[in-house]
Amino acid sequence: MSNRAYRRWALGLLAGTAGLLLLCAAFVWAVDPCFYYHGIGKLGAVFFNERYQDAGLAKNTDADTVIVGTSLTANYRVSHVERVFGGTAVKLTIPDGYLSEFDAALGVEWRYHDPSRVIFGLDTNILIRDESEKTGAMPDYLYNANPLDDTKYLLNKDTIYYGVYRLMANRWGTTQDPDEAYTWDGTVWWNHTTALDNYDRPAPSASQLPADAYLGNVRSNLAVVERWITAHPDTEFDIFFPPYSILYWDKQAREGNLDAVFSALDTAFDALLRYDNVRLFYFPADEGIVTNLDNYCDYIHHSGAVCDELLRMISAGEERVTAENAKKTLADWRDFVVNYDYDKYWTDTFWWAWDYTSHPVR
Amino acid sequence: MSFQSLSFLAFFPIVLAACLTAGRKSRRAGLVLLNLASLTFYVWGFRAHASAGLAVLLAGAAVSLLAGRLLLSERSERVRRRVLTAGVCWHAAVLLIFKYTGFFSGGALSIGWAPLGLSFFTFQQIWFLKRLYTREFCPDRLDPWELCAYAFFFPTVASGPILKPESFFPQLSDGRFLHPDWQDIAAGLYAIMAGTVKKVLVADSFGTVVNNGWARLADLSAPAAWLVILGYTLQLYFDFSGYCDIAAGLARMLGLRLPVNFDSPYRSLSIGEFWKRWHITLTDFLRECLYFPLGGSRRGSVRTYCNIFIIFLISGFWHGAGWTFLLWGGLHGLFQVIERVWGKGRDRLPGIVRWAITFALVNAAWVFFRAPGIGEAFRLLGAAVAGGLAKPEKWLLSGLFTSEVSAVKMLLPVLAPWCNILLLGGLYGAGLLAALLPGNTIRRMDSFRPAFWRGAALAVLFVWSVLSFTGITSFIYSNF
Repeated sequence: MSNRAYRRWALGLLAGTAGLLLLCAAFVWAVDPCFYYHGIGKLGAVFFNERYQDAGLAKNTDADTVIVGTSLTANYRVSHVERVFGGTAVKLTIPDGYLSEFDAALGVEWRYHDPSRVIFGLDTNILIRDESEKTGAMPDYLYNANPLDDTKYLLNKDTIYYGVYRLMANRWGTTQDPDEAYTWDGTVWWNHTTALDNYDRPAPSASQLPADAYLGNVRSNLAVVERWITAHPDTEFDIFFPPYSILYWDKQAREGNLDAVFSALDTAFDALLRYDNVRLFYFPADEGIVTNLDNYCDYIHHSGAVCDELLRMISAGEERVTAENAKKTLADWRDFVVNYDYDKYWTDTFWWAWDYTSHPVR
Repeated sequence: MSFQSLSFLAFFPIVLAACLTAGRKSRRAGLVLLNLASLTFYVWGFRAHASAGLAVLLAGAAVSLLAGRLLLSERSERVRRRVLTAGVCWHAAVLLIFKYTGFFSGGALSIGWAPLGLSFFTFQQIWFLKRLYTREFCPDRLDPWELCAYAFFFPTVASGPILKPESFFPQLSDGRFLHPDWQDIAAGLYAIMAGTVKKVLVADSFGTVVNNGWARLADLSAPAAWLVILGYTLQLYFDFSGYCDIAAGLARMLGLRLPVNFDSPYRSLSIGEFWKRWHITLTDFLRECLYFPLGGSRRGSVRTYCNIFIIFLISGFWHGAGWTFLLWGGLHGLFQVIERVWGKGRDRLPGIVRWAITFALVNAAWVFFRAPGIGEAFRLLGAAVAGGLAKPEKWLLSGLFTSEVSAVKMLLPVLAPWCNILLLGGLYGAGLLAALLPGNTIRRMDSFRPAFWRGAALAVLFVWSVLSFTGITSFIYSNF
């Protein structure tokens, strides 16, 4: 066979392969399931994965307010944030996120925009967690400034699938309202029975975790937040601790973690209250919210109604921690959780009382 | 940087264009560029400890160069023997220090990392020195750039094949080196694409099933256990065979030919034949550099059996520093001894029976190769025998072609109930057929004839593979 035939075949194969790859890339670029090139655009949206879509939302939404956090922040509605604070808003939630992941998301935000307010839901779990346990779930190629590795987005069978899915959802009329993006409060029954069902009460531990057990992680994590604060002095940071239910404190008390958790919180208060552009809110000390288990579906996640209330309080400056009241806030709360009667949730009295209050005899 | 990455898809065309352009003007300039590309590939692909790893291997190559030059120039046999011993000891010591101190010290002295491709590098360098010593390879002089290419040639540096010096060095002076014709380019493209498809679409898919199975050993029924065992047998073959195809294709496009390393090993009718078809260059090395020096089969049956057993123990240990690898090697040694003791009686069995026995033994031995511990290996084998006949659970296929299955369910909902069966049947059926029927890719490169259907199928499957390089990592938040 002639050399020419091999040449024709090889060049044809390369051209065909390159053509198919270009076609795939063009499809992803046009449909843009992760909103990376065109934002949400004119096509109806499908929200399937925060880590893959936050980069595009941050890049393409010119927002005055950014709300950032874990699954505890997922049930905030952008429209509500805009109503409370004015201007435009974008929500960047990362379920079970790590500080480096929030850093990546906000990094994209600041690369393209200059928001005047960042509302950050700083879970205690995020504060104390060890960054080295982070999974590889975050697609770094969408968050870095290198346009070359965006090919990993364009040439990716999963994004092609989600591209097709987005088109089909538009055809079927099953696209999602951007205001409801990543919300999940409509799929859960917010009730003390759900909360208690989803809580595995640990056996009491004989030993106490040392007070400095989390401090290494806490300082590393706070360093990231402090870097944001100092790098953006004109941005107001409303940092709040979401109100985990009282069951969280039962868990910490029984596992012997109270000293370590309170020490972590104390360190965070000290660090964050040094900045003029920070307003700090400690909602776990709101007894009305955290002791009412009907606000919860497990021991930490609260309902969308609580989100609305927290936004109102942030806006109004309620439950704000200041340098003057920080120590007392923590001391009072510690006193409360140490002396709280957790066992009542597992007694008949609690259930009868609930039956009576929820279903009063007419 | 692995072969299955978008960065390599950008790296290789640049290297190819640069080397071929330079090679047309000056063979030496092309060789230097090829070496620079190989070192770049090494450092880029081995980010953690890259510089240290490269330094260790460069030191090893320098030792080989020095020892090689002495072996070529020295006439005294006594001195030559000492040079060979010193060179071999150096390479063996480096391998032992980096890969086996942890094993021998119970973890107390583990270095924790080893240079990429150290095991292959070591055997290849030892083979090089041995062939120089026996004068089976006797060049006029040793050129450092050529030795560097032999040691660091990027298609082979990570996982072989282990190159005999006389199968590599003469090619560097050959007219084809950096002067491939269009037949070479076409055959190279064919091998690269076929290898990528084997690795990404086939091997990694079997890997998904295998990993799911190993993660839930206690829940495996007998059919599921067999799917895991067979899946790993096929995964390993397509993984390594795919790598070798890609390496051979890359080399061919640079005007070099690599030896055949796999020759349909699962068609073997005996374990002895299996080792003549599986990782052929390793078997050649072990036979020439260990089995023959131990006396081979010339010193009676018992000594032969001992030598076989020793060779396979070493082979097992070379594959990994652990008891499971030793047991795997020992099993293969034992099987071969039994075959020899059985003798001609075994040959009189029908071919299909011999094939079935061989395939079953190879499958069972791979369990130890994959197992995190000997206990877990026996648990899987136990499940395969006494796990009950319940059909495999859906979780065994979790993560397997997730997007493809979702797309089928979305666009062709009528197929939804059949997806898992079609997936399993398609994967294992295609895998077995592809492992048993077609001939070796490298041989097919030599008789390669361009055809439209072949090009179209390759293009589609290769694009599918490229699209599978980067997936959306499934992250199911289920903490509440």
